[in-house]
Amino acid sequence: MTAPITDGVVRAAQDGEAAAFRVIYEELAPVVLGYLTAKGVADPEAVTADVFLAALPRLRELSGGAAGLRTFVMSVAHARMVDDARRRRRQPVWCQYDVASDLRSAASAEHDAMELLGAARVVELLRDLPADQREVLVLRVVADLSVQEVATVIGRSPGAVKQLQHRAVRKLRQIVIEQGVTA
Amino acid sequence: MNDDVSHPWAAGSSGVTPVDELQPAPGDILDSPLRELRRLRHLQPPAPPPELNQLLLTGLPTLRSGRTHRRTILVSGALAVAVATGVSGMAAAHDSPRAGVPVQTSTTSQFDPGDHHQRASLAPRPSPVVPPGAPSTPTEPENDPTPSERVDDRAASSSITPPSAPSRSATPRREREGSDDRARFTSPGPRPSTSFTHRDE
Repeated sequence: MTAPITDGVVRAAQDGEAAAFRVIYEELAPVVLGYLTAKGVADPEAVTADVFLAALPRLRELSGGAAGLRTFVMSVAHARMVDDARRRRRQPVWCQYDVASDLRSAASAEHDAMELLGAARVVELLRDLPADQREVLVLRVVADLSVQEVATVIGRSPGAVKQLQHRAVRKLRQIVIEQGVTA
Repeated sequence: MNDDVSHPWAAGSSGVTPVDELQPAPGDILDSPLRELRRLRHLQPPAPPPELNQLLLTGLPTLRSGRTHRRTILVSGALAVAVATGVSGMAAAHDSPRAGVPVQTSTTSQFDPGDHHQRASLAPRPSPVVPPGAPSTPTEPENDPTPSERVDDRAASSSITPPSAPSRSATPRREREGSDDRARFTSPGPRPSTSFTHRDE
């Protein structure tokens, strides 16, 4: 368990202290990685590294303490995710099939019994959501941002974010019912 | 994952309790999907790549380079203004003989179009208003503290070389050329060596 990011840690990072950088990375890298994974980024680990390479040197520009840092890092992650999506739309990436990295792999029956839905299944479910609803839901649930912070990241009003979130939850419920997935 | 509610960021910076629809009751049909989705935030990233690892270990260099970059822009901008001022001053001096100053004349004679550093190091001096009696020696830029005074930050002074380096590099360049010349002209006679002895003094 890492130390939580406080305003003091953010200030230390703004002064360029490596220890503060590590605290921020250890705390936020899993969140960024989860966000990018949920968004279906092709190489989420590499993009996560890119996000921090871009974000850490720019911390001096940051205001708003720990909450501002979280919003800032997720904004960078969001921008990188959009870049990745555009890049893949322009030129599809062909790669060899790798069983280990295939999130669609079916679990064993025992595993199914213990865990009905895995992360891969959730990602599959999210793909049926409209892009903006999926974005809001992932930022709210995975990145754990507030409505206001999500609004900042995606450049929409808080009211629009609330609306998108409500629709996303309703749509997700509908999808789960249609696919016969039960808790 | 009910402990997520107690997470300081669960409510975001606003402190408002998360909307209930994202925290369904344990038996709810969305409980499992949202719980799994929430679990994604605990994915463990692999070891950072070397470049990021360097940043996490040292921290400062990248930030320092960013600051240096800004300072370099400022200093180069100031130098550009100074050069423009100096050039216009030289042009004015050239137009009106009364404004001509020996320093300008000497620098003009030493002006090397390809040597931007030399031009930059000489230009900031307000030489057109130097008293006529002031000595104008070619080695004067070496002792001119004005460029280094501009770089007041000690952290940046080591990395920002443009203002101070030219004055240092100008003479060694001549010395290098001289040494080349010396190497080239060792046999003709003592003349090159005497000229260099004079310069060293």
